[in-house]
Amino acid sequence: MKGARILKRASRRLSSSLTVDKATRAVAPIGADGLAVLPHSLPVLNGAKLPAVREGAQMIEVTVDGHAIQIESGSSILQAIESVGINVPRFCFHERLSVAGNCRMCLVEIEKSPKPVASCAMPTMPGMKIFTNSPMVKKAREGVMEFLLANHPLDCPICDQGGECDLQDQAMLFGSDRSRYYEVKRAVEDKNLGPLVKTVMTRCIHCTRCVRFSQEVAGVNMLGTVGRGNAMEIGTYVGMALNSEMSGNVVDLCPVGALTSKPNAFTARAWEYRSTSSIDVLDGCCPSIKVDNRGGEVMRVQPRTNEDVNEEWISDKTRYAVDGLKRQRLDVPLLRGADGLLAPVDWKTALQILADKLRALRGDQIGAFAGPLVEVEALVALKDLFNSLGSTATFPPTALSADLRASYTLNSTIAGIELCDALLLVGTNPRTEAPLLNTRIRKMVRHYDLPVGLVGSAVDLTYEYSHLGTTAAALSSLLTPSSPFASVLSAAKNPAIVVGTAALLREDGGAIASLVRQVAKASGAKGFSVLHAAAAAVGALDVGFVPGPSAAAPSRLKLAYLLGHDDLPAASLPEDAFVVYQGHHGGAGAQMADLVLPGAAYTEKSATYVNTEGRVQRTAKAVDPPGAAREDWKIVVGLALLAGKPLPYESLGALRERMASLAPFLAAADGEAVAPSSAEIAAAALGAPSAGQPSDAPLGVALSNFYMSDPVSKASPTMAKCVQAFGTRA
Amino acid sequence: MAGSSTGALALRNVAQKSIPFSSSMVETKQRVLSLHRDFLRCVPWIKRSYKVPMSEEKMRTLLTAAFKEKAAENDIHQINRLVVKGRMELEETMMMWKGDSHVISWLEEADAKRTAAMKSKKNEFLDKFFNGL
Ligand code: SF4
Ligand code: FES
Repeated sequence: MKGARILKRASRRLSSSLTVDKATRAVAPIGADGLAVLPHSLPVLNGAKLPAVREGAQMIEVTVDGHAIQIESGSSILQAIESVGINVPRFCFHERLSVAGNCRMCLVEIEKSPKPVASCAMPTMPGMKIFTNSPMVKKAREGVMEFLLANHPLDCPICDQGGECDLQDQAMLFGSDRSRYYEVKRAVEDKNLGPLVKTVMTRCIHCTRCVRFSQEVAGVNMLGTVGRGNAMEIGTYVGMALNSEMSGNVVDLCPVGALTSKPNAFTARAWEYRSTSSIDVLDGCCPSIKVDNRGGEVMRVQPRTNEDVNEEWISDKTRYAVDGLKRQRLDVPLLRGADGLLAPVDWKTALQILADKLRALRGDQIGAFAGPLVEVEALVALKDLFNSLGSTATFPPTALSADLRASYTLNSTIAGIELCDALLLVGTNPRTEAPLLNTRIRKMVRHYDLPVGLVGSAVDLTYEYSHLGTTAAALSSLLTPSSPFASVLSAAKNPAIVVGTAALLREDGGAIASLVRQVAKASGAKGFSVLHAAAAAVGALDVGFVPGPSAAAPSRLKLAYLLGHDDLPAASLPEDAFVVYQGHHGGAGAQMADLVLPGAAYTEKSATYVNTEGRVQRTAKAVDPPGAAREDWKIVVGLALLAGKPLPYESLGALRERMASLAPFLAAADGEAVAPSSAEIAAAALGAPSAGQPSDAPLGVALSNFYMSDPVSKASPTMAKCVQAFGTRA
Repeated sequence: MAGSSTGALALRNVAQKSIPFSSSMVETKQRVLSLHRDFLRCVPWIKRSYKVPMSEEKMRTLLTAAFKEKAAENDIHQINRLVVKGRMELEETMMMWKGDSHVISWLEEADAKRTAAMKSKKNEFLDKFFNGL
């Protein structure tokens, strides 16, 4: 009896395919036309910030699916639709690239237009009536999807993009459930794009995002299309590698699995990752990143959108150097024995030995040196410890004066580059020292013809600039109004001057700084900006991790504490000095050390960093430090206890209060804003007395090797491959 | 105050304060725990309202230490008395019947006491550090 009822019900359901019961309606409701009524907004768009209306823009009214909306005239139909929160499927369109209009996935219907139109490429007209969910649109989308899939391989199970593939997602949402093609799929030869980007070109759907990215953002004309129609292929024309410091971004941009990340090939699936929002500290900009880990191992790093710093790009070092986090790690304390070899000891012994040394030595016999990746917490703790031991010999990663914040930060800010109308670079190669700043500059040069002048070695910057000279003499010539770039600078309303640390850290750095100040004054610039390549640099200056006036010279120290510092020449310390290295990688610093204390890397601790603009941000702990390694501030606090000089904090919260009492802006480490320096302070920074005559040695750049600039990237095998393939980019 | 609203907390406080005595130890234990938790819940609010120059974590530790001090008490009458007194203290604090200096100096004294006690004991931080906690 019961069985018969079930049968009857099933046959009733079959007989009218248009009737859907409640359960299925919850999944995809079917409209009167027999087609699915699609969700109006996808989770990705919910809560997205809409762009602010520009001042003076003319507004027009259009109707989207019956909602009348006001939109800036000249915006595309796609923007109009997005502004009411409706999602339009797309492959080729990308907010930060030019419009190509070649994938046709974004078709919508316009009233009185006989054919659907590509919404990303079509401007809105007053009174336009747009439909995004009409039968015509659905049919068009299904058609486009069918064409795309006709040649797309069915290798999702072995594709690294699987699970985070736009084509998969949109085929599920907007595609038809069957194909009418039985022909053989086309196949395309894979290209070799170098050690970072893996290609499976058969999967390419020819959206040309990668081509546009490399031309527009990365500024290397290396990717292009060859052939047409079914024979179209993407590739470098002459079989070269994609030689750019930003090349990894094409992996994120590619909507399918044609371009995937080579170092991560076949290692993990998208749904196995646990993500942590953090920041990167391998360059001075500290871009926002997402750290994906699996089973306590950092697998990959991807950019997070942050309009103020990295838009949505990151450099290859940020993205691919993380495999260095698994190599050459220090995971137990090491002590140099009588045989001259480092041997493991336990923490108690290690700290006790060091504490005894500190007790036995006078304040003027000990000194601390901070490296490029050290966070503010450890710096403050170490500085407090050394001060309480009577030493002010605390040497920061970049030895600049910490008196005025305006004189050592990038005052123009990274996003502020978009507001300047003339730019002078002094002794820096932004392409290696701050790739993200460089892409901003390129954007301005490309779109607004920003005039850029460079004093220093003539490096390849992905955009045109006037090379004014290699020595400081070129700077003085900018003070004579007859020089062409001087007139450009003085004609500009908001000129910016960016000085690299290579210029300021030379013997004659003071003289160069005062020349720069004179140029800034002559051109009416509000101040000048310093570009740091090290993430620890500004934080160290902010908390006053600088040698005091009575600090002992390195050559007189009996004990040197290297906090992640690898570049100290052994000759600068006396032969018999006891060297302590605290850090996460076994590099040059650990090799010269008598005692090694293993610390945590930036993915293994919550740590505060101040980027070159003075933006205070915090990393998040994604995985645990390896072995017996400890968070750096804890090591210092523990040492202080054993040395009989307990620090007034034993928790991260209390330590951060101490930081905030040193520099109040360190309290809110949300990276939201940069504490601006007031006009008077900026003027004071410009008014510093001039010092001496600069030498006529040519100005260099801060990094001699872009791919291997810090302990993490030096340990990374991928970065080593990059050096082989692309050189050092110096 | 994250988690529980100030109103609910104040209500519970008044209700609990007016129970003069609970005769069973089980019930009393619950009242003590609830009082402890209410104190901890109030910490962010107290820090803000009385401008306490201490981290929340520290304040919580000190409050907990004050409870632990009486951990050996096993006379049910005494415990009940303490609970009511605690409730009264909490009420005074929440109603802003105290001044900034009352609260701050109580905490500071408690801190000084604790540091002195810790000095004589072995250091907790180092124990944890060596054990990798
Ligand atoms: S490789 Fe990827 S990004 Fe480049 S055109 Fe093909 S699908 Fe688009
Ligand atoms: S997104 Fe509009 S045509 Fe590709």
